[in-house]
Amino acid sequence: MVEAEQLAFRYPDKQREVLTDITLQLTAGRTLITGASGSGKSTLFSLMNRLYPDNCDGIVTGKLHLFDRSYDTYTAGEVNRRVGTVFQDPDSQFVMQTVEEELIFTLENFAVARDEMMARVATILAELQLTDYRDRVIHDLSGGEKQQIAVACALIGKPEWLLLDEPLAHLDPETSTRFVQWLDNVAQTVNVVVIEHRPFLWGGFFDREVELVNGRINYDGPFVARPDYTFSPVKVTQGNTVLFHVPQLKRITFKLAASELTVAEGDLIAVLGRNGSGKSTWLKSLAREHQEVGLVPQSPARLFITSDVTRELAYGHNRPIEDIMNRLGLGPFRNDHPLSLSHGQKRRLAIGVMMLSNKRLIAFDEPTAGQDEISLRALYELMVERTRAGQTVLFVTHDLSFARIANTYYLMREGYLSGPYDASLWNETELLQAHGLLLEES
Amino acid sequence: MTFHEMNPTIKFLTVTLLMFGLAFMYNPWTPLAVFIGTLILQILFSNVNWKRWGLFMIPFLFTALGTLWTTLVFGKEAGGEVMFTLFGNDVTVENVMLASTLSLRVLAFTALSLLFTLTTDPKRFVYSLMQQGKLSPKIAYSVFVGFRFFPILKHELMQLYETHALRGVRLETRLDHIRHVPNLIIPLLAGSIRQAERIAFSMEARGFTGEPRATYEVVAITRYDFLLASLLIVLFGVSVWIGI
Amino acid sequence: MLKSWKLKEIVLLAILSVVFAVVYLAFVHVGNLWAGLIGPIAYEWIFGIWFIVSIIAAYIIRRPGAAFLSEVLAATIEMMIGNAIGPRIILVGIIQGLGAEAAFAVTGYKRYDLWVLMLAGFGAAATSFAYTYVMGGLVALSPTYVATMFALRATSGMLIAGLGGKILSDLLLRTGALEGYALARKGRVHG
Ligand SMILES: Nc1ncnc2c1ncn2[C@@H]1O[C@H](COP(=O)(O)OP(=O)(O)OP(=O)(O)O)[C@@H](O)[C@H]1O
Ligand SMILES: Nc1ncnc2c1ncn2[C@@H]1O[C@H](COP(=O)(O)OP(=O)(O)OP(=O)(O)O)[C@@H](O)[C@H]1O
Ligand SMILES: [Mg+2]
Ligand SMILES: [Mg+2]
Repeated sequence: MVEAEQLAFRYPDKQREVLTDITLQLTAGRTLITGASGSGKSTLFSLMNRLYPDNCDGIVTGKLHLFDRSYDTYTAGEVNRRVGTVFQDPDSQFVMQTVEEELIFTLENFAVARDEMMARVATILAELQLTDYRDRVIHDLSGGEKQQIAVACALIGKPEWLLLDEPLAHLDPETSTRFVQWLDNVAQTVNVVVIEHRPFLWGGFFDREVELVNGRINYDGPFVARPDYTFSPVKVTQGNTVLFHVPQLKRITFKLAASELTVAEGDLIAVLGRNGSGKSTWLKSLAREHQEVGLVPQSPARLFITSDVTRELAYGHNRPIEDIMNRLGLGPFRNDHPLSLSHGQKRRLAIGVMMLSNKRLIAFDEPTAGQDEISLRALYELMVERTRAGQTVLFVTHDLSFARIANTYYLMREGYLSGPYDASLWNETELLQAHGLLLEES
Repeated sequence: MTFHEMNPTIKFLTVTLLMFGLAFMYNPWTPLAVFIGTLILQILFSNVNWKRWGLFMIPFLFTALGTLWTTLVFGKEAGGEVMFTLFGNDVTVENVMLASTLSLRVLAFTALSLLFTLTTDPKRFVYSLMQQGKLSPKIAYSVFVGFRFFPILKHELMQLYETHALRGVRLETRLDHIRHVPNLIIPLLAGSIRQAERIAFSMEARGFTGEPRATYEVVAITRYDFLLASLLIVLFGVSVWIGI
Repeated sequence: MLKSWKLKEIVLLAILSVVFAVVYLAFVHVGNLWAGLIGPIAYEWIFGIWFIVSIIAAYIIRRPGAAFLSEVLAATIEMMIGNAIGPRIILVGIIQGLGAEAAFAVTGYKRYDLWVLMLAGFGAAATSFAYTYVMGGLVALSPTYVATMFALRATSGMLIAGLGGKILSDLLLRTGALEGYALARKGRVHG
């Protein structure tokens, strides 16, 4: 589908090329694309579905053919009928208001006959176990729910190729396992290209791997399975305890029960639970109720208020920022606009911002989503430092390998927070299954 | 057969036509007749929420009054018998006729407009413009995206307050919140522009090319549409006749 | 006309129209209350507000038709969200849009300096005034009163729409949100 020779790409407002000397032939099958955060994976995707260079005035050199035709001979939207895409950011990939409207919009683009549409919508929703979401307003869905809907939208048009940019990043462990199994069946008829930092989750799904390093292809060959990374628990020293109260909250389709949280200074806490169980809602309420809580939201870009990385980190205090900036790998981007960073970089910048705050409790909503291992190690170190300094660190994650670092656990289920648990939680199979952390053996 | 079901494009054209016609009528009776006739038609062929109707009407009552007295006070010198003097301006019969024509025209325009607005679903109107009016799908869908923006804008604004709170802006009272609004306008607009860009990307990624297309929503034309349109036109004809 | 436009430019145009439709509607209500007290002249000095989207859209997107289309869309949306002037407002939009568009057409869609933007504000004021003259029956009013109305409207068009539109767009440019549009491209050195 893609045939590139000495392809290079540069964003108009940047000096350096993000992709250099790319020579790549994508053939039918299942390809994995890996590479550190910021290495140009998402940019490559946008060239493959022809959103770029048209839409960003980017500068392309070299050869780029899509389905045997040069990319610049296509009109906007044309190639996208053969190539479905799920973007990395769950927040910004929808056009219409409700799930059903969104799916129908896609079918209209594919010129599907009118009397076939409703049946197709029902089928895809049923297959992905999303039928309940049919009439929901997309904007109100949780991050993971949005990502699942995005997958349904990309697939309903039955494209020949499917580009998935970190599709599991916001899915709970059970849903992601189920998704990979399901895709394994679907992918008999569709070719798949996936960007993923944790190939481990996909088992033996892939047959080829392409690795990018700094915008160049470093490896292109058969996929080699490797084990997941591991993290060991942090030893914490607990100080005085503080009581936080989160009031009850009612939404049309969701109710968050009131909860009390007693945390010790210097503790490291993880909150786990299914997609849509209310973790983000709970965190937002917590931050709203208590000024001494700092929060990095699930969509980290929401935190930014200045126009470059340095200012963003230095905003509102006069502590030194260099150390954190470099450890989060943001040094080379110090003068860039926060919103022009890659997704992983944005998240790390938001993390850096909160790490520099002197809030009593710093909360991170899915800080691990879309991070490579090096970034996770940096995150780990920073969290440890904060707890040593007497701050309490709390994070929500779907990454069970990283979650192991915590000292205290809470579980969220249908709006009810339970806990605290200690590390013995990992042996409680039934509890884990009930919270979507383990797939029930069927 | 109701105005709600009427094809929006045809409804739109008819109502516009009537308004245009009205602009050329210089006697108070025609606009008055149109005003009353429109109300009657609306009662007969639609399900009006009169509370909303009244709410929309109120500002235009003001305008009608304003028009009335401006035309009286600042009216051109006109011949004829002077009826009374207002703020030093001699008001003739002709002045009064003209003033009441203009202010009644405001009311008739408003009644016609409300007939359209209160019975038309915006989405259906856009679909109909695309299907019958050959409106470019690119524009039509951009407008749909625009509609989606009302809730988004509200949400973004709340989000901005939350962001600023997280970054250390302290807003305690309601007044603080209001005072903070100017600091939010540019970020709010900038955020919307970025969202718009991403939505455009998504449309393309979903295979939207902007060519004429089939839609699931079909807005048809039936003979009732022509019937209702003729009713409105007859109303206008009768009103003109009354004026003579 | 729309063939050469990018989809994101059209969507941006629509979003601007939506945002300003809300602003327009708000000012209609402000104006209405006023107008009840001091007559139609109440609108004149704030009239520039109702041209601003033309200038902003044209200045940012820099394509033939941007000024016209944005104004028409804003008017249409304003009608649909509850301006009881109704379908007539679309006609008003068309007329004002043409006035603003004319200024950009005259300069060959090449110049977007402040004076061109102010000229566009003036253009919109001129055409919209012609419309008011006919539809509002201004023939009935004394010429001096009419002249005052026009002078106020033209000034308002040049200052609020022309100057105001430029200031607002430049502020937006600074946030980086306009990176992918013609306005930002102009200021960028390719190399
Ligand atoms: N719209 C943009 N404008 C300017 N620069 C950009 C833009 N998007 C990305 N970049 C830059 O291009 C580089 C590659 O970004 P890209 O999003 O392709 O990375 P990625 O490999 O997908 O990373 P991640 O794993 O974090 O998502 C980054 O250094 C980023 O700063
Ligand atoms: N503004 C809203 N209006 C209505 N429902 C909402 C709103 N926000 C969230 N919800 C619903 O509340 C539930 C909880 O959402 P929340 O974002 O807290 O989930 P989450 O646990 O963070 O999920 P995820 O792991 O996918 O991020 C979801 O079902 C979501 O659809
Ligand atoms: Mg990426
Ligand atoms: Mg969440």
